[in-house]
Order: sequence, then C-alpha cells, then structure tokens
Amino acid sequence: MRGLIDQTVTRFGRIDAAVNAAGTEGQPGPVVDQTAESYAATFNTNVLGTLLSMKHELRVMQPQGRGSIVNISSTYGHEGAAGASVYVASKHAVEGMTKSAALEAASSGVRVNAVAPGPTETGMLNRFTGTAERKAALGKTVPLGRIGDPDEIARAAVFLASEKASFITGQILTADGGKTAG
Amino acid sequence: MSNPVVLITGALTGIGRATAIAFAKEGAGVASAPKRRSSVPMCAARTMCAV
Repeated sequence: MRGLIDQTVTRFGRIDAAVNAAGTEGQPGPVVDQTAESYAATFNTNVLGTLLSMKHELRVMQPQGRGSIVNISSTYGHEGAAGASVYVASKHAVEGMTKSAALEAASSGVRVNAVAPGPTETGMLNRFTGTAERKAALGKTVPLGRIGDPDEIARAAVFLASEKASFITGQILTADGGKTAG
Repeated sequence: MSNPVVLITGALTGIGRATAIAFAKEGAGVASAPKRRSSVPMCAARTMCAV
C-alpha cells in the first residue's frame, strides 16, 4: 500500500481522493462454525486492509491540506445478519474506523466517509446467495424491487469523493434501494 | 478540481471496478491496487496500474 501511494504521488504529484473498495466475504456460516482462521482471513482484508490504506492515504492528504477518503462498507456495517457474523463484524469495524478517522483528519481539511451498499450485482453477492433463485428472492426483499448495479454504488462513492460533498465527513451513505429504511 | 487523482483498492472487480470506471469517465487519474497479480489490471487514460 505504501509503495502504491508513493508511486502515485511521484507520478501525479498528489492524491485527491481514495476509495478503499478491497473486501472479502470471508467464509460465511454460523458463529459455531467460525475459527481464528476464518476471522483472520476476513479481518485482514476488510479491517486491517482499510486501516493501513487510510493510514498511508492520510499520510499524503493531511500535509496537502485536502483530500477525501471513501471506504466501502455494507448495510451489514450497521445491522446484523445470520450466517455472516464475521463479515458483519468487519464492516461494523469499517464504519467505526471511518468515523474516527474523519474526526482525526477534519482539522487538516481531509474528509472521510463510507458508502454502505445493500445487495449489489457482484461476484461477492453470487457467492453469498449461491443460486440464481436465492439471489432473485433477495432482490424481491428490496423496496425498489431489485438488486443494485455496481455503478449505482460507484456513483455514491464519486459523490462523496467530490467537492459536491465538501461539508460531509464521518458519514455512512447507505445505497440499498430502501432495504434498511423500514 | 479538474483531472482529480484518485486511488482505488480492489479495483479489479465488483464495486471497486465500477468505481474506477466511474472516475475514469470523469477524467480522473486512477491508481488501482489489484489484489491478484495474475489478473490483468484495468488501464484507461490517466490511469495508473500497479501490479
């Protein structure tokens, strides 16, 4: 991560925004099946990965006096889900780190927010649901009546990264078709 | 700011990939951090690919 960021600064001279989207669903299953290994596999990517990404991004942005970081959380970052405890825990951690980093970076003029997607058409969702039938059934539980498109999540991230969101920091923008509104 | 420089992790697939495309459409320079070295990094105008 440090190397990529240093290369970016060398080539472009600055970093205006960063989106930390690397994540894994880990090994979904009930709590009684979880292990130290399944925990580490999920937390290393989702929590440690986000932490170290933010660390090195802030190292560049804070001296710049400007910048915007967007972490990708999940609606599971603020609600529970049977069979996904470790993933849920990791995304709760992402939201906690987002808000804490926002408070630390605010005096430097750097904003930190997160997007919390609901069910989105990705390989991760396919692995989560397992079958087309189960995925379709999940889509029917969304008030807007469908699974989200990755571009719809991307546009929320672009908004938070942009100057259009200049007074927004420490926030979690949920993009879930209304699934958690009820 | 025109031509923002944006760094994206997880940019090879899913939401990260869609985010990289969305920024690239807006003329951003995108530095991606692919998770898998065997994968082909997505490159576009002013996109930095680290493999």
